[in-house]
Amino acid sequence: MLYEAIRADETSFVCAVLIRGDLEINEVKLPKALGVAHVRLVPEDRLPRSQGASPASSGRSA
Amino acid sequence: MNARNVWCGANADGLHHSNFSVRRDVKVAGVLEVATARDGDPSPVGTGVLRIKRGIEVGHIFKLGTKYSEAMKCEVADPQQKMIPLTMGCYGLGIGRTVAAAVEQNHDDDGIIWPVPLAPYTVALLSLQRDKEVLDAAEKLYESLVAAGVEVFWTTATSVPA
Repeated sequence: MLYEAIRADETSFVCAVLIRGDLEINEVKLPKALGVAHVRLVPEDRLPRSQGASPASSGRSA
Repeated sequence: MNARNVWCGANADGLHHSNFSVRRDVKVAGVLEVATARDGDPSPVGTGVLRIKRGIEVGHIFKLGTKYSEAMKCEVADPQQKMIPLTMGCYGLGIGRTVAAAVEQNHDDDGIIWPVPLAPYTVALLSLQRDKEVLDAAEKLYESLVAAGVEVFWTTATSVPA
């Protein structure tokens, strides 16, 4: 999952969180662990796309 | 983190890669504990497992840290006489939700069964007939209860809500 991590001064960075498929990312724990004020999922229209593939197909290129 | 030879997306719709290995295929910036806890997970204190039970929040405690004391410049001197913002916290106990939680836990088909500490009155005295004998007996009961320090709600209404 791609998250935008937003600091208290409103600067931000994007990070990819890999998690096992049977677990859920906790959005209270995540900002605390990253040391930022809050996090939000990168909106779908801003997700990187490779060669027109949908974001759900993101992964490793050949 | 140690996942090896798992499947992942292939940057093309409808295709997947096999043999994706986290340590080999991505640059890991760090390992964080950010998964939502589940029933049966190992306890963070190192003994036993976590159990998830239903609860009712009737109050809460917040650690506010220095967010507001910094904004309001509420400072104290530390042992080195350096001014530092106060660490703040606050408590909230919901009176309404405490009553609602008590009712949820203590009721039957006829309505609320008040726990004594929350009950508006300890005794409700209903004299359901208007004749003198009943009223006199009720008054005698009422007075002896009040004299004994018991809070009594006495009504002479002959019809009361169920």
